[in-house]
Amino acid sequence: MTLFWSIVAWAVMLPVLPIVYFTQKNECKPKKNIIAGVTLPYEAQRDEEVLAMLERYRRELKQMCWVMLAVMVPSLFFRSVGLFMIYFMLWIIALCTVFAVPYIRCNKSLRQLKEKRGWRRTEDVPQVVTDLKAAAEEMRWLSPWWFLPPFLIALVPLAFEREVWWAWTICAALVPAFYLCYRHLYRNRAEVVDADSQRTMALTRIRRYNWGKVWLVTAWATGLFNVLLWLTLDHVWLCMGVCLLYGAVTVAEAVGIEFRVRRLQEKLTADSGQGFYVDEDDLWIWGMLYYNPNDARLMVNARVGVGTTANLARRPAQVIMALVLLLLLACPLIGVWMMGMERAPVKLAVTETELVGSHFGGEWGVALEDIAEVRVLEERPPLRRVAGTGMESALTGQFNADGWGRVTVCIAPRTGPWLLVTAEDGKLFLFGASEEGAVEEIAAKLT
Amino acid sequence: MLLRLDFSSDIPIYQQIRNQVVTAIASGQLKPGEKLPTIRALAEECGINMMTASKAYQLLKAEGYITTGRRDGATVRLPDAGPGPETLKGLRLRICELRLAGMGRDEILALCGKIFDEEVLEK
Repeated sequence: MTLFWSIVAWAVMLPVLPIVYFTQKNECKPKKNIIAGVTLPYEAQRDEEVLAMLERYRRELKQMCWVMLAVMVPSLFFRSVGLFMIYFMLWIIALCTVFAVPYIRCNKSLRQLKEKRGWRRTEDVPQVVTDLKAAAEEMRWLSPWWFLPPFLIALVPLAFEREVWWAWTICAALVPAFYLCYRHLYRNRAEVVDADSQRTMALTRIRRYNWGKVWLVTAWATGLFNVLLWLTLDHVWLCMGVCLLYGAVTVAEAVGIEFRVRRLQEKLTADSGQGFYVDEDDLWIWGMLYYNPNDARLMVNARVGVGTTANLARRPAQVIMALVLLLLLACPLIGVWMMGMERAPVKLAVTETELVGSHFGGEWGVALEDIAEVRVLEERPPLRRVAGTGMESALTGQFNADGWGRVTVCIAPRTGPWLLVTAEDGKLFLFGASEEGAVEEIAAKLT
Repeated sequence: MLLRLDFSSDIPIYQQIRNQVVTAIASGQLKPGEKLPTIRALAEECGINMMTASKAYQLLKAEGYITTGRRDGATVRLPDAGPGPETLKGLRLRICELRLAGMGRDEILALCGKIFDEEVLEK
């Protein structure tokens, strides 16, 4: 991996840092009457000691941000993609852990202060508070027809480009999947903060509206992404730009909505908590993990962010959480797998019936009886990947080449010469091998 | 109207729902004709079993405090007749308990007036 590609990888991956930083920083603002996961009465939200704690939290977050940025610098000089991925994945795990520390510290300090100042509503525990008026208001779901156009748009490439049909199909299938997520992942619970039903209903409507908006915008972005990807497939930079744009649009939209919702919640609940207010802090571990054995629900509205979270008192939720954790911890293995790919040699062999190129468990072959022409190339044509692996040590899968069109490739790009095979049906295959002299030997056998 | 369910209480959840809905109707927090959540929505909101929510509504319906429709869910109403025999029986028992606790007629009436003011007028 050259320094240039390291910078590109940085540009793609580093935005995770400011996203996490600003999202965590946003927890200092009242989400309804909850600050850093602690429910506070009206007067406490303006208390000097509380404000000082939040200031310290913000300061710690900023320090963590700089530390994490510094930790990322060495990866600029890695030459192995696999090593970069291992480092990046470990960095992501560290990021999640490191940024949770000041949050938990702030949450604990605020809870202690709340206890000390007598702000805790002990009479509410272990009550569950529900606003009947707000609960009676039916959720108006977005019609599935809104999701149909992006689905049809996403299917367009499938009509013209059949070779990697599975890639277009997976991408198009995401659109109905988004609709199902929108329809079935939302928890119905109203956003009760106090006895004011109108306020509760307004807060609930904001949440419901933005929940739909996130999924709908993502569905449309995915539909357009599929088409743009297909249109730019032959132009590496444009294609990369489209991928970056898609990532940027979806992330910016989700984060933007979270911030907008928080601003509206802050505005709507500015004078809340002066009399009765709902306090469910004892049901939230560190203000972020929900644990309520009396609650039959598996998923509830998240306290942090706009999504949902699992009730850890339920067995399925514990299993889900364990799986998510395992998945997160297993992420560095992607890098290990990539390192294996980088180091695995590209091989070329002739069996009794077939010419086969292989790399890291994958095989690309053509039957000997189907071979119409074999040419040895001393210079490698420029290739643009359609689907497959594109590493400095190996190119495998489907590629496009100027003047040739689609080529099935299995080569070690740095070790020439390469074998261009034309099949009877006109299909092209480009083979190579990591071992010097192997291609010439095979070419001699074939001719 | 806020429904507060205490899961550590000896009073069953369906009974807690029934009691609080009745209190809310008496105090005017819930008005006749006002819609209540569907059984499914109530269960989802409170994090309780659908059967528990259904039982609470059945009880309220049998006592004449709500009507239920297949499509509209539950609607608040005022019972047609005066207090039922069960209510009067319960009241008699409570008065006897207060008497045994050492309270006289006037004290019991004053206490009833105070509770009425708190539960109906103040809310």
